[in-house]
Amino acid sequence: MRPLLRSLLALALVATFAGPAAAASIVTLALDPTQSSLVPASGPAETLSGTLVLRVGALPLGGSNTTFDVIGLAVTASGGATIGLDPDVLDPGLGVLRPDGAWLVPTLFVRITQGSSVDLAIPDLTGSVEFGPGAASITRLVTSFGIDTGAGGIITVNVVAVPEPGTLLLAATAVTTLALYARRARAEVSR
Amino acid sequence: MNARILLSALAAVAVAATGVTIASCPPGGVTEAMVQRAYLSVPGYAEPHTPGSGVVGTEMAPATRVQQILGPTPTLNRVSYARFWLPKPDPNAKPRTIFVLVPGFISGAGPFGPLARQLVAQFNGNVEVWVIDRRPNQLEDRRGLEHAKAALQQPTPDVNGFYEGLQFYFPETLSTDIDQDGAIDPPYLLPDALGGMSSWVKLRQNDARFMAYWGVDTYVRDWKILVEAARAVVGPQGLVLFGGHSMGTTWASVFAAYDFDPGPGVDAGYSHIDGILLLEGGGVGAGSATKPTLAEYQATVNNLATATVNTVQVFLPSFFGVLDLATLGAGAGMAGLDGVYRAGQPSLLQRTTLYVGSLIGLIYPPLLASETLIGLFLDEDHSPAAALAGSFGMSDDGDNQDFTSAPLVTTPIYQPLDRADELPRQWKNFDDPTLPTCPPNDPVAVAGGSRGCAIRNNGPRPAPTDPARQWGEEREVSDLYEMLAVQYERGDFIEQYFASGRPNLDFQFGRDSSSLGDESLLAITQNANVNVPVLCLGGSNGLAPSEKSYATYLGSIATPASDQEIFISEGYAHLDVLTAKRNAALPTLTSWVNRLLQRKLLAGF
Repeated sequence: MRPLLRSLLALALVATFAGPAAAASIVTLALDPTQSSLVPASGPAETLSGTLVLRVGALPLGGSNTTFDVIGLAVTASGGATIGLDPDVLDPGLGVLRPDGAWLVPTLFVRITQGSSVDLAIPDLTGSVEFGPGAASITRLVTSFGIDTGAGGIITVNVVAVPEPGTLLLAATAVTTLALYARRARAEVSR
Repeated sequence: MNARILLSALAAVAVAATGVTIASCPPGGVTEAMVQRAYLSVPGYAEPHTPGSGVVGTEMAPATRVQQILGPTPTLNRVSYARFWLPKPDPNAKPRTIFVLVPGFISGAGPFGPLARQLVAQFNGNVEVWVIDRRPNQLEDRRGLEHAKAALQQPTPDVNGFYEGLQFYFPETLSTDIDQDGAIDPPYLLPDALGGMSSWVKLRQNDARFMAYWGVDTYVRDWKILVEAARAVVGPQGLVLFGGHSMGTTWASVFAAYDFDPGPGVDAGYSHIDGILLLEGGGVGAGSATKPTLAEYQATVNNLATATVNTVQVFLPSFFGVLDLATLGAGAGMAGLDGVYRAGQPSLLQRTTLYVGSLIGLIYPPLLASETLIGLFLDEDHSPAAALAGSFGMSDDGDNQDFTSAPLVTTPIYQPLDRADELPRQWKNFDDPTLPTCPPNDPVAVAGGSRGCAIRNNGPRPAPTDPARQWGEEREVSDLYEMLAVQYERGDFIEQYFASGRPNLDFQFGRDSSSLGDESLLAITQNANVNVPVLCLGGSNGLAPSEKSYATYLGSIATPASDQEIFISEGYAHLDVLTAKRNAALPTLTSWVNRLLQRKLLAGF
């Protein structure tokens, strides 16, 4: 394998899994439409799809908490409404992540648009993440919360997000290529 | 589910954690109108000389006038505040952040309403705002105000009841016939707290000698009680942010610098809070060049407490030495009622001694609509205390003339003159698209055809190291009609008995009272150690309009520069920082809270 290609693949691997270095990492997750939903008090549920982008203060985590910021949100409900971060708030999704995977965003500021827009603050948003090997990556995010609409009853929001398919493919390619390269290198040494 | 219904439902938001906590709100999202306000009073610091302390041999007996207002055995060691919050279906749902804020010079909790409501709504109730109403506010005689309000709140407003309220505070004279019945009516009497009937009970200095002990020590200990109550609500991982507006920034920074342990230990105020918010004020200064000695201090306190002449003042008797403060406060309350219930009609306050033959009548000679009288006092285009005012619009339906040469007037303001048709001058609110601008109108208005202009340009922004000065294009941002009820609600606009004797003595020490040598009297000793984040919000047309306004204080504390932030809202006047409808500083304030909370939660949640 050419050195340049090897370097690029290694870089891709590091970027995809947020790397072993304890530095801020950008993690892009895709909502799983089969498990992400809006469930009204009555009537059919809507599916949710889209992506959310996190900036995690330090991956892999040590023994202490780290910052967990929602820096991107582009979600669409099957009924047509879109949900993004409130662009009028400078830091709309600042939170904290625990080593056990539990996280808290004290207030998440979002904008919901369907024709007109409404800005909403979601207090005390909690959930959990699962880590990849060595706690160097995030492989799954889960949250669930309720919205009381008053006369309309409670809407339950369920979100399950995993590394988006493109990211997974890139990561898989990188891992596979590096594994092949390593095996070939070992074979060359043994010769 | 229909998408539009979904949007409406989501717009309702108040979302909760993991389905455990559910909050509600109707379609359209959280609005400021949904934010609740309550005026609360709880036991305060047990200052021993104060009536109601129960400390035998030290407690001072209440004067008859105080008893007429509060009853035979008043308990004055109380701390009051206006709480702004968003009700939630789950009574256990608590905010993560509480602001505890101190009003400025002779002011109350009321003007904080617009900013407080915006903050609470912005965070969907995850933030509360508690605005302190200082102790002397409980000494105000509100009987006439409540009588008049009850009369006006009838399905068919009873104007006679309002007349009675006016006659309670402002007895008729030869030149004031309030109800225009052709007779000089006697003062209107109402039941008092001693079981008698009396007209307005206005305190004299000798009625309130206990206020000799209402200085910095008493106040900050009052407020520490609120800070501790706020901490109990938000918990150790939440934020308690302490701040103030105008002179309230002095109080807030003194709170942070205070050592609450009168002994050799240190219990610093800043250790109880997570940040300091300075609104249109530069915090505590260095104080007088010469500080009182302990003997001088004790002698002054003793004189304040025992004097028998009213010239020894424990409270401020007048506004800038010319307008009786209690009278102004009572009049403002009644004028607010007049403005709310009789909007657009001729002001009835102009029939009272508040106006007739007084300085106010000289400053504002024309016939005025009820709300115009308030507007002229609050607006930076017209107010004789323009430096303390806001941008509420303007009255331009008659000539305005330059009034800069009048006594005490230091900034360009307009004196309204009679309308040509002699009808009442009306108020043009902040959002009226026809507010006069300059150009084309001349900022220096002269009698006989000029109206002046509401929006001036005060020039380029000074560099951070330049001397502080006003700059930028003025903006009209505050709703006068929102300020009318503020004049008469509990926690109103004017503090009628602003404690001045003891605080003035204390403030001679500025940010360090170590030289006094007795921490049981005054203990401002920790300023140099203050290390919590500080956010300063000013207005370019206000009293603290640029970075330099805050530099001295920020340079006196240990907070690193990375935790010192300054944001100046261009065009905002002094009050606008509190009263603006869509406060330009809200994004900065929101971001500050978010970042501080994240930092706090890193320690554990």
